[in-house]
Amino acid sequence: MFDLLQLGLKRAAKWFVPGGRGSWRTKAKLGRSLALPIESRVGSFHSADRLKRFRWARFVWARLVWASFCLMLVISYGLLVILSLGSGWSFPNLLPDRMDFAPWRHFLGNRDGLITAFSSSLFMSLCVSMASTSLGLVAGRALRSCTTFVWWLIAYLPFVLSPLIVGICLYDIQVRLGLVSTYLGVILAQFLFAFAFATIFFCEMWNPRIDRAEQLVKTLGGGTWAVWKHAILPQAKGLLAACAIQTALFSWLDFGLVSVLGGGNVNTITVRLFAYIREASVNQAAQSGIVLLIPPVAGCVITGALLFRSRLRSEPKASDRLKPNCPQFKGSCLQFKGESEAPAELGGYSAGASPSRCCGSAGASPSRKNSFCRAPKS
Amino acid sequence: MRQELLPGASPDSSIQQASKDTALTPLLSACGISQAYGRIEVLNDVSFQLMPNETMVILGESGCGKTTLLRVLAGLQPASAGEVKLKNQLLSFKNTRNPGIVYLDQEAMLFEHLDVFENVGFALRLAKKPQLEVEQKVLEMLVAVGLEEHRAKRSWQLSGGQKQRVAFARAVLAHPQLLLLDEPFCSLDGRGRTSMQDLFLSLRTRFSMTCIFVTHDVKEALVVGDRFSHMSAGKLRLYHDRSEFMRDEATGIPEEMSFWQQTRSES
Repeated sequence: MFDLLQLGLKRAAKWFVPGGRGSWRTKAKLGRSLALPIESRVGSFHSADRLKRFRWARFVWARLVWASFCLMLVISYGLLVILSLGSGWSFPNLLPDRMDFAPWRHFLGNRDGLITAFSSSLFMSLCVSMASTSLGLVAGRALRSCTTFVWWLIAYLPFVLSPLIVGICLYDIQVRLGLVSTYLGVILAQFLFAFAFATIFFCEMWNPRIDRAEQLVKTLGGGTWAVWKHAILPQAKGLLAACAIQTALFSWLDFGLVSVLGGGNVNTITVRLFAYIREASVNQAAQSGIVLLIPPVAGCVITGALLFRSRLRSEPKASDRLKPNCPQFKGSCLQFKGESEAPAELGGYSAGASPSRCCGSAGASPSRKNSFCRAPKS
Repeated sequence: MRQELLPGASPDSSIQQASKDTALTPLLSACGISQAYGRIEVLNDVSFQLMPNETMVILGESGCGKTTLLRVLAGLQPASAGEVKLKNQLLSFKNTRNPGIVYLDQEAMLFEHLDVFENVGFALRLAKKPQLEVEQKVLEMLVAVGLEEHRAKRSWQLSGGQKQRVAFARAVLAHPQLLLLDEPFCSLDGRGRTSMQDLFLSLRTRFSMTCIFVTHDVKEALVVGDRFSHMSAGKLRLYHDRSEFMRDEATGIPEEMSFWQQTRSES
């Protein structure tokens, strides 16, 4: 482990220390090597030893980054868990005197509107998320094609002002409309911000590629639903998930608008959390903090898993990268052969690739067309 | 164009006459199409007629208005002036698309969420054809374009030429009255391009397609075209026959031919 650390530090010293060993060209080369997939850089390593050292350095740096990330998570969220479980924590001690589930049993036993707060927070965030994401997708397109400066200004306006100030401004209007201290009033105010965010978020999504896909579906006889199903939604699903999570989180974690416009009648998790903090109830504040964090973390994990699955389905697998038709394969094959690319109709083989290094060649028999090409062992 | 049955004429002869009339009726009539972006005139009074089962080639340099003309014909963008008739029916520029006209883009845009089979059968699925018919037609088409082994692959697993084949097969299976091809093989290399040209010719004959083929490659124009035209600065010039097209200096063919003759004599 010490050797690995030493190697990593040596690399860092070479890179960061001014006048350190290695020219700018070497540093730039190293930077490129770290940025590119290892298969594509195979050809640039002259010896097995250099390749091995490069892999070790990469391994060490990857582990260091992961360790730092995990440490940050443990420090912030671990403390919250300790606070929620512990009792009788006196000053010089590193940990509480007692750590068990008794505070949680007390917290959940004495519900004190917690279920109501949780369900109302969930309901509000779902409403805001769904409405703002779906409408923002359409409004983003309208804004994209809009040439008037005024609409852009209106779209960005909610970001210029603090939510609290907007809440105070909206308070008077909501009093007149009879919406103050109601769930609908708070949802509408949160929607205002989430919708503006979603509109700007989706504005950049409407690129010429989507337009062309849309025209393709139309020219092949598709209607509006077919256009959305085949041209827009497949390209937008990742952004839709990201926007839905962001807007739901905004509503879930919002305190300013709820406290101003809710008038004490709208009971959410954040309101309960701040109430516990005001009461100086450390255990309950930590417990409600954890309750506040569970849905966002779960949402992130679920969406991440869904996106990862869809990516696996739609993108080349690592094993497929070695297949002849895969562009990455062509890149790596050309990397260590330095030959021109073969006609695409031949299945994407490198024209001058010798059978000893690359099994697919221009003269390969059709039966071998789909056989794997393996990188040479150095 | 419907004619009265003459006394003494047999029904068979009337059918023959009707089919003859249909053959003489232009499938597409474009009259006085103009398009301008601000002060820049992209299309200038373009008029032509296209008969059924013909392939008209439009040769021209980049930026001369070829793509704009095809997009106008496909109904993907409106024209400033002029009218287009498909089988004597006036097409409206206000419509988002013109029925029976399929536009094939320069880039083979495949749907990434669908495999090769579903991409090829896309138009049939949209037309809600029965599953059995879809499978039969798509498999037949995949065999025709030589992609039957790749039916389960996604777009990223295909080469440029294979993608073009899929896009072309998809467009053909939509059974368009008119197929508009906008430099479809421009991204392919020499052999791939030749292979695709052969495929185009065989499918055109097999499905009796009427096409407008836009290209800036002289050789490709001569290989795939029945009728020839040249576009320059938004103006379309039509040629009566192949030899007139080849003689015109504007097409660049005489210059190229003299180059090859000179090269041959030198060697």
